[in-house]
Amino acid sequence: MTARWERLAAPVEGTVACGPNRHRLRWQAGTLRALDHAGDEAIAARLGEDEPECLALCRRWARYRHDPRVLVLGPRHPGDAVGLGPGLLERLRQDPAGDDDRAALLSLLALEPALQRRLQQQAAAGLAAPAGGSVLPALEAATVGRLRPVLDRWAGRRDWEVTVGEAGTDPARPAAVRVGPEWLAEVWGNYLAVVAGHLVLQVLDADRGRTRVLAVAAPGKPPRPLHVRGPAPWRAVLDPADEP
Amino acid sequence: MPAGERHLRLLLEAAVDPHRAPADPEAELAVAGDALAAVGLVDPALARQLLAELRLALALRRDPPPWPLPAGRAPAAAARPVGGAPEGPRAVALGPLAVPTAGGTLGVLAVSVGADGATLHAALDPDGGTVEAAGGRRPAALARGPQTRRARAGAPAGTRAPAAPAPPGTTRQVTPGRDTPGGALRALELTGDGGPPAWVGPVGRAGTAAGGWRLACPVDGLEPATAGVTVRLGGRPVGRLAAVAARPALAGREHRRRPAAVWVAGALDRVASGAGPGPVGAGVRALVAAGALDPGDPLAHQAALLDDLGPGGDTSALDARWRSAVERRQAPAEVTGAWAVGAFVDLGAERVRFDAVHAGPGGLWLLGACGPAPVSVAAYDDRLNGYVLAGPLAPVAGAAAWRLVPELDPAASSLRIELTGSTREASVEVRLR
Repeated sequence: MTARWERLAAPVEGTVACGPNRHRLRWQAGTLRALDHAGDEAIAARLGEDEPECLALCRRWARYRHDPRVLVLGPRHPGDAVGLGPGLLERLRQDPAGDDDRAALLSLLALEPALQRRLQQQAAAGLAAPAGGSVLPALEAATVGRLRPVLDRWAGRRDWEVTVGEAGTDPARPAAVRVGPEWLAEVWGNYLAVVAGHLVLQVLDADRGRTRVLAVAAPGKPPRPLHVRGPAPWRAVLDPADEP
Repeated sequence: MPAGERHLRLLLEAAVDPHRAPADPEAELAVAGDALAAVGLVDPALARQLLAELRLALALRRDPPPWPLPAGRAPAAAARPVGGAPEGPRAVALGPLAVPTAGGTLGVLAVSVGADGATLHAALDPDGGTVEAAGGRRPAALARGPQTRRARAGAPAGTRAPAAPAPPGTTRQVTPGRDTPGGALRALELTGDGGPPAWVGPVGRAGTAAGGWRLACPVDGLEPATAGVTVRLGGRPVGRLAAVAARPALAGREHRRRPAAVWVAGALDRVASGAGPGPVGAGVRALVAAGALDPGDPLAHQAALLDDLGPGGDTSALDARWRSAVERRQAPAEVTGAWAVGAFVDLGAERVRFDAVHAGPGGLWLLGACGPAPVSVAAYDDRLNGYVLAGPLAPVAGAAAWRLVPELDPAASSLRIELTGSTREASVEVRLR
């Protein structure tokens, strides 16, 4: 069964340098695929032949898609540029304490931003899976770190009190915002955080092209359901009856 | 555990956000991780991992980034000496005797004698770095016809070591002296009153810091009941050290302080004396956020004051204990001297022996022995000055030396050495005059 965040997430393509060429990578339904390599190349690589960069990236994706470090190192918002500059790469190669693990992880952070966001969604979704009713600190911190810039843009910079739990707001404390543990994978990852001036706290339904979210119009206001239509850029649907 | 990890991860998130990042995000996270690890609210390995991840996250956001990752900001690990635990108190024959040699000045600081053996504590000033060390090289040979100089009488007594030739904080293997022809220490002969001659045994490790090399080595054949020790070099007497009787063994008492308060007090000492990184406020906030420290604790207030104190700032609002340390940093004074201690402390899982205290320009050296279990060591004088462990620890089999900073306050008349083990603590008083 496809997870809800995967149903909301549109397929994404990017290109990477692979030998002398630029090849395409495609993410869809939780899997990264190399579009310009035949399947037998992967088999040949497993048998010892040189592995093309595209296939190596797909293999690393499968390995790191649930690694919390993806959320620590990856960009928090579109303006948060993460770059593997030539200086950094050179120092990484020369670092005696460096290891293949870190280099492999960083190679994924050099992918195009849309692919990086899907990687973060996968990592967050893995952490949001029920863990005895508690929210893992890694997911909570990653959610806070991504929601605060959203709140700044939505209603201006202030000392936001962000917590992860049952989605909601507190009329007595307008700066207090609570979102669910799935917020990062379902809302933030799909560019759904703010729609038509509303802050989206939670996805309620995502079936047959209809998406219903819990959203607030302004700080301290009570949340209410809102129908939206996507993919990004999402727009609010004022009369759901008009939707196909 | 989750509360500590949660705080560190939230701190990391704030550090990556340019609108919310503190002035020194790495120091904030390092101090907070140190504090939470000290009270058991976070795994030290996780704290180090998060610090490394923060550095990498910041490096990815700027070019050129700091790579390879700088060392030295990781949460401090507990000092862990090597060697066997001491078995009981010892009498101490107190130096120092300064012996100029061809290769540098050899200082005989103290000789401790007990039922479990004898140990020579010595200092070497290489005079340009000619002390032989490591890889089969030999200790410097002594000049013929040694010159000696007695320590000044009274307190502070002793000789003042020349400036340190070696970088601080290093520890190197020194070639065993006894089996080495021409070795400086091989020529040293120690004789207890009425007893047979004894010679210095193999040298294990030497620590270097401000004040030169520090050595501790066993002495074979020295009588336990000796009242004094005569030192000869190449057959010629160079001085006699009067022995001070050992104190009765001291048993430690159970901890009374909360771990968080212990950490904050220690961090305040380190920051005030300039021995540790700031800001300590990051650690206090971490402990408060994790529920380990009451925000109304006076220590939290002192931490905030100390964090805000710039160079030459007004110290009047600080508690005397930290005010004094800050003022001494601003106007340091040099004191040299040596005092016999002869104390043995039993902390249950840990046993520590202090033979002597040696003060110099580089700080205070506590000479003694301890087992492999980590023990926290600090000291305070009667003027409420704090002295904190700065290392290096210079241990050999059955001996160790702790270096405390800053330098001794010239006006201090007594010193209280505080020991904190895993379950027990104890303090030893030393009269300075």
